[in-house]
Amino acid sequence: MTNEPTPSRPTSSGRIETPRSSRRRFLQLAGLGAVGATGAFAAPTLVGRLMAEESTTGNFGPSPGGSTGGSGGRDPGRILVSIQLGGGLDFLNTVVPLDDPRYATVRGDGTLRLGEDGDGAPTLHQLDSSFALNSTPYLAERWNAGELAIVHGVGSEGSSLSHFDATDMWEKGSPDFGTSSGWLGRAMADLAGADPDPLLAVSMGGVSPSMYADGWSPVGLRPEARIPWSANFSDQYRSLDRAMADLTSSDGDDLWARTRNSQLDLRGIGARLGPIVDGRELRDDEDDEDDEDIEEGGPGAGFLGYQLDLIADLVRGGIPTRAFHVMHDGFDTHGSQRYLLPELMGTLDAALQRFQSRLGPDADRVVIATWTEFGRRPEWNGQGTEHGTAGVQFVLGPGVRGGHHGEPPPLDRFDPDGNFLITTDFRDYLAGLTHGVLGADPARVVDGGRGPLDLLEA
Amino acid sequence: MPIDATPRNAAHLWRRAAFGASREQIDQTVRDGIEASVESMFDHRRAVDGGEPHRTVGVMAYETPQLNTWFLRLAATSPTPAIERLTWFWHGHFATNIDKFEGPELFHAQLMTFRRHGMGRFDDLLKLMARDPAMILWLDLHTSVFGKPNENYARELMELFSLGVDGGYTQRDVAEAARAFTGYTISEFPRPTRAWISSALHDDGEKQILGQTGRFTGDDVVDIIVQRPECHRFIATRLWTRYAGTAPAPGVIDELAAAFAQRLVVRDLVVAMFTHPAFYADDVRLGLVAQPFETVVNAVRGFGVDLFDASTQPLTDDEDLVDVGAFPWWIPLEMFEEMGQLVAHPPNVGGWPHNDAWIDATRSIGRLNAGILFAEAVLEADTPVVREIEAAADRDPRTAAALLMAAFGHVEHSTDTEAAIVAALTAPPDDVGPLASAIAIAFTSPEVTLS
Repeated sequence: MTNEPTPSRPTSSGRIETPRSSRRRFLQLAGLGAVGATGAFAAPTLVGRLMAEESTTGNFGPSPGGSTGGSGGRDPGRILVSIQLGGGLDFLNTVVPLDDPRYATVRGDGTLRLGEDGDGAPTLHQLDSSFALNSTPYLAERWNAGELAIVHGVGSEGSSLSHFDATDMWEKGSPDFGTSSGWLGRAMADLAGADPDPLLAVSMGGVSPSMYADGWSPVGLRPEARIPWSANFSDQYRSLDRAMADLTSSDGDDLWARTRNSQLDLRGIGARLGPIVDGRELRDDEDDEDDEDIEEGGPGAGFLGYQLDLIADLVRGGIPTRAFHVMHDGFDTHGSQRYLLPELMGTLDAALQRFQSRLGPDADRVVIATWTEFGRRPEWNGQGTEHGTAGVQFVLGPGVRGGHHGEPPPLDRFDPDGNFLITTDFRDYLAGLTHGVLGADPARVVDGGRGPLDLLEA
Repeated sequence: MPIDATPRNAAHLWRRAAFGASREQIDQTVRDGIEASVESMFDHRRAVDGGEPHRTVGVMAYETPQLNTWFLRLAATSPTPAIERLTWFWHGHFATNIDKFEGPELFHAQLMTFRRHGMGRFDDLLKLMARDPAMILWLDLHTSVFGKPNENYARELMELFSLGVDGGYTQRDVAEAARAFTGYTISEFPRPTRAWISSALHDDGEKQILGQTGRFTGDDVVDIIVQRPECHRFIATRLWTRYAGTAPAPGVIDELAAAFAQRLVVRDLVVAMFTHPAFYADDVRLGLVAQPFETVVNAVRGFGVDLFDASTQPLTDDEDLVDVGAFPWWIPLEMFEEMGQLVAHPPNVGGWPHNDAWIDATRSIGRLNAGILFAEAVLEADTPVVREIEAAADRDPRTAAALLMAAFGHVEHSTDTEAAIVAALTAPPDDVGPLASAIAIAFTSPEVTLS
């Protein structure tokens, strides 16, 4: 393959390396809790920080501190949009090895072929002499532009076939769940230093466990929900606003103080998000027809597109967020895979096209990376595929080193359970995103591995 | 030595063991004493028939909204709210997500099993779970057959349900237990789905589990597990963690585990916990973040909301059919959704996040949105409790603040919260009105959040 992973800095004994680290940092990494670590989140309220920002920049622009991270200077750095392909994506029928005669042997009745398009059947888009993409014309176009990386054979030796355990492993960035914090959370903690801004990481819907870390918690937004303290809100709720303005922050790190301070943080977050989100159309339950247009996020882009719309608006509005998370669920295709997989990939494709276009000039800063908890078994079960091991991941955006990364799993050699062999350690993939996109130190983020994949141009 | 039956301790007991209480109920506990009140709260003879969501064919009939609406009303209006709360605890413990399978009636049946057997012998409860169709479908137990055992159920049984992740078992024990549970299956037709044990699909061979050897069945595995001290400590710790919140003082878990080990009766353990002095310490009273479901039950109970009865009629999305001035059935559902917790929808088999995981900026957005939804709806519904607070607000905002906090089951509150409520009540009129703001302030206060 064209782009071999660059092995670097092997870690000793497979544990998280802690260079220059204090004990507190290690405890934070290990998710063991450190006295005083969480206090950093509780103590300075966002209201205070907001005021400081207003006085220096006069706007809600990127935070001058904390969010610049490893990029240095005032460069706001790249933004990672992590898309979870929930359920376990079947790599074999997504990045289809057209020219490999072993493909049909392995996949049997589930084998896809060029020229069998239409009528619900997948449309294959040829990438090169070896591979075609299933139902993703936009991704194929970005491939030709050199902005799509396809990472093959990603997984972990001996990982679980349970959705929970495998998802847990990915979220924690650790094959043995040795932490309670998530890999993105640790990356944010590494970027944020002593003054973590909750807006550094934003999750759509519920907060992804990948974003939690000790002393650090991200913000979750539901695009269909009202955000308190948007401009209209403060007009309507003047009495509430006034009453909450009277609340005083509470010292300490107990639950009382953290509850009180999270109320106060909210007012600050609302004030920062308000100017960005005001004027966005919210989903309106009363009006079903409009509702569909809005919630669908444009033709074919689905709820994923609707959520990416909000992310695009937040980025364009200057939110200092470095990592977003959004779920695209339904890849657990035990049955009906022939129809479900093209539909799901088609939605992803349309949503990404819409997203990059909506980002406008900010698209240059944004890297989209997928992850799925596992791949699926080699053989076709008649209707679909069972839980497997190695999976494929996509990285998309300007600055991405397009092309193949890692070796596709061989189609004639399997593990003792008959599953595909892992060729790329998932930690090296996460380390590559950590280093290349976020500019954080992979050794503080990922538990072991061989070293970051070289996914991004410097 | 009996627990001091002060209003503070009585209110704490009701907020934790149940979903809060009126001032009258708290005063009754002050008169009866904590111990007698606990005995009465967990007296199954006082429980009523829990009923069942109305069965109507159709989209809105008998699925998540109907289930949530039904269970909310049961929890908020039951004469034995402590039993409903223990049912809720077991739902979080054996966390089953309805999305995995067809058949909301299976989920209802599981809740009813918790309700009937949740205070009884723990080994019975574990044996019933391996025969519970919702659980079987949730953890794919029916796909685990002789020669091809699936470890999913056996692993969760040990890790999450009975021993804990450090409970002294190995991967080998999981694999062997999985063999013992082969053949625990279901028949989906004819309806209703029922569980049964197939001897043809069961691996009758010899197994080695937790140091014992024999031709064990799943029930035998349960009998082996419940004799382990790790099991007694794990269940005692789990209950303490979910009801008390903070890490227990040294020795407390030993005492509770000992009370449990004698007869394996859950009620013994629960009564021991709620009558233990450690449960009434300050760090416990301020040591637990209420889960969204608990907060919503507390609110609708405390304001005397006349909830939609989903056991007698199906939900309808035709707004014309909702009486003007009534409390719309969809308000609690929207509150659940805002706050991130729906009955029958735990995020995974490990259950919902715990304690401080519910405190962050995201959660406070949801909590405030939920508080506003509740405030506006309850004002519209104009319950007697609302009218009482409204009347007091005109005379004395501080009395109104006390009544407001009492509605949430509090007999005392911070000066900070009182000041904010008074500030809201005395603010110039705006779109929502001062009282709605005051209710939202109370709903999001640390007092109510840490109920």
